[in-house]
Amino acid sequence: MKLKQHPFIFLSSLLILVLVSFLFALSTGSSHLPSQTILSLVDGTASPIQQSLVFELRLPRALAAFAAGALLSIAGVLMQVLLKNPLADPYVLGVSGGSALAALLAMLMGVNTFWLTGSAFLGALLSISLVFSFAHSNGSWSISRLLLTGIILASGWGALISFVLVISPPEKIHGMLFWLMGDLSYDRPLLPSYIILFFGFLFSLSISRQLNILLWGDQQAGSLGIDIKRLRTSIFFISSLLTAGAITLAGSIGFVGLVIPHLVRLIIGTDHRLLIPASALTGGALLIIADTLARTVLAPQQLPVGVLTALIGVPLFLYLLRKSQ
Amino acid sequence: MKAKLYQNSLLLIILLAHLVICTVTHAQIQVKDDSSQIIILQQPAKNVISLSPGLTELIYSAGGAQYLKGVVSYSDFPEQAKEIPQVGSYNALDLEKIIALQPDLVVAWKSGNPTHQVEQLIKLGLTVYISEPNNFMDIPRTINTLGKLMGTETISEQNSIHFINEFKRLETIYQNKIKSKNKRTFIQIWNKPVMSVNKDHLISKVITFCGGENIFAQAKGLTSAPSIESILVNNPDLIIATGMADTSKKWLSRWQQWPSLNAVKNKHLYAVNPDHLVRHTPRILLGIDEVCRLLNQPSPVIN
Repeated sequence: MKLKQHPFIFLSSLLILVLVSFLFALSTGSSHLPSQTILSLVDGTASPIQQSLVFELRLPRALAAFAAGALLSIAGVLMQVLLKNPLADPYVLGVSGGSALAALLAMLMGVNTFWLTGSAFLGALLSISLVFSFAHSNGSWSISRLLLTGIILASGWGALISFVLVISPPEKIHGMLFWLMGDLSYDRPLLPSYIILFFGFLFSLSISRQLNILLWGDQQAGSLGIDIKRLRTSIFFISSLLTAGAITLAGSIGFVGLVIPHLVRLIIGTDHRLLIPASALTGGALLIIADTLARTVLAPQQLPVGVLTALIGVPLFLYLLRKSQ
Repeated sequence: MKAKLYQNSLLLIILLAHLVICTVTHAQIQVKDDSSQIIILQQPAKNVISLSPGLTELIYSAGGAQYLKGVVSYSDFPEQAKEIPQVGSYNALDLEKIIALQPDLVVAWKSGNPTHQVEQLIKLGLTVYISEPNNFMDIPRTINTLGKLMGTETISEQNSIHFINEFKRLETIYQNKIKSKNKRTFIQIWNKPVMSVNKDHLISKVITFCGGENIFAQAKGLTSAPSIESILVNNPDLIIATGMADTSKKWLSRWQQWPSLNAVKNKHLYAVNPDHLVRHTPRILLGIDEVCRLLNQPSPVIN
C-alpha cells in the first residue's frame, strides 16, 4: 500500500478525520440547531441556551470520547505486543473487571460522580497490582503466566460483577449495565485522562522502535541489547494505566481496543512509530462518531456508546480485511 | 469632609437595605426538597419538566397540567401526559432535550434518575426539585409543595386534602377489621424467576396497611428472588400477583400444583392491577382499596 511510504499524509488525513468528527459531534444532537446558529456560536452571538448545548454538553462529551478512544487504542497496541496475541485487548488482563466492580459497588452505595470515578480508578489499580504480583511472584515473567493470571482474575471479577448485579435494586441496574457497556454521559473531569494520554502516548512512542524489534522474537531482541524483562514490565504498566484512564472516563467500552490496532495495521503495517499515533487518532475519531450516534439515533432514548462502537467498527473492519487479501 | 463620608455611608446603607428588601420580596417561593436542598423561585414555575412517570401524575394532581412541558417515557397517566414531548427515559435522560426546553423547574426522582445526570442539570444552572416519596403521606405533601412551586395552590391543596380524607376513610374501614390481621401474604411481582418485595416496597406497605403480613418483609433487597421451597415453607394464606393484564392468571396457575398451600386450599390467589400499586401517586388509593378488599374477603368454609 502506498500509505506506508507517506506516513505524514496518512497522519494528517487522520487528523482531519478527527476534526471532522469533532464538528459532527458539535453540530449534531437531539435538539436541532440550524446551521446559522453554528456560525453564530463562533462569533459569540448565539443565545445562552445554544452556547450551553454546544459548549457544556456536546464539547465535553466529544473530548471525553476522543480521550477514551485514543487511550484504549494505544493500550490495545501495547497489549497485543506484550502478549504476542492478536486476540489481546486492553481488558484481557482484568483491569476493566476490577474497575467495573469498584464502580458498581460505588453506584450501589449511591455516591456522587467524584467518588464513583475515584473508585473506578482505584479498582483498576488494584487489579493491575494483583495481576503483576501474582504473575511475577517467583521472579520469572513469562507471557503465558501473565495471560493466565489476568484471565483468571478477570473471570473472578466477572463473577463478582454478576453478584453485584443480582443483589442490586432494579432502579440501579440500568445505570450499571450502561457502565458495563461503556457510557459517556458522565460529566467527569477530563484533565486527568488527558494527562495520562499525553504521557502514555509519549512513552509508547519513545519505545516504538523496541516494540518493532520485540515482534521478531525475544532472542533477537535480547541479542540487540534490549532488556526484555524491563521492557515487558513497563509495557504492562503503561498499557494498564492507559486502560484505567479510559475506563474511569467512560466505563468498559468494548471493541475499540481490540480492533482499532488491527484495523490500522491492515492499512499501514506494523511499524509502531506510525501505528501508535495512527491508532490513537483513529480510535478517538471512531469513539466521537459512535458517541454522537449513541445520543442521537434513537433520541430522546439514550444508548450506551459500547453498542455503537461495534456496529460501526465491525463492517469497517471486515471491509478492510477483504480488501487487504 | 467627614459629613460627606457620613452621607456616603448612609447612602450605601440605604442602598444595601433596599437591595436586601428587594431580594427578600422577590424570592417569593421557597421550599425544601427531599434531599434537604432549599429551592428558591423568583416566580411560580411555568415551564416544568418531570423526570419520572410518578412525578408526572403528582404534577397533574398539583394543578400543573398546562405548565408541564417535558416528561420521561412511560408517563402514561393521565392520558394527556402521553402527548407531552419526551426527554428520555427516567434512567437515561436526554440532557440536551431538557436544556433546549428551557425549564424553570425540573422535578427529579432521587432513587430513580441517574445521580450523575441530575448533578449535571444542577451544574448547568437549572432549578431541580429532588423528590423521594417513601410513604403514603409523602403523596399529599409532595402535591402541596409542587403546587407552591407552580403557584397552583388552590388545586393542589384541594387534591391533597381529598387524598388525606380518602386515605383516612380507608383507614377507618380496614384497619379496624380483625379478620385480616396477620394474613400471611406472598406478593409475586414476577414469574420466572419468582420475585417478591421486602417491607420497604410500596406494595408491601399496602399489604401492611390492610392488615396483612408480607412473608418476605425482612428480605435484604427491595426485590428478591426467593426459592419455591421458602415460599412453600412460609405457607402464605394469600398470594397476590401483580403482573400486567392477563399474565397474572398464568403466574397464579403454577401454585395449583401445591394444593396443600393455605392460599391454594382456600382459593386466595389474586391478580391485582400493578398500575395502582407501584407509584407514589393518588392512584395508590385505588390499589389500597382493591388489596384491602381481597385481604378481607371471607374464607370459604372447608370441611
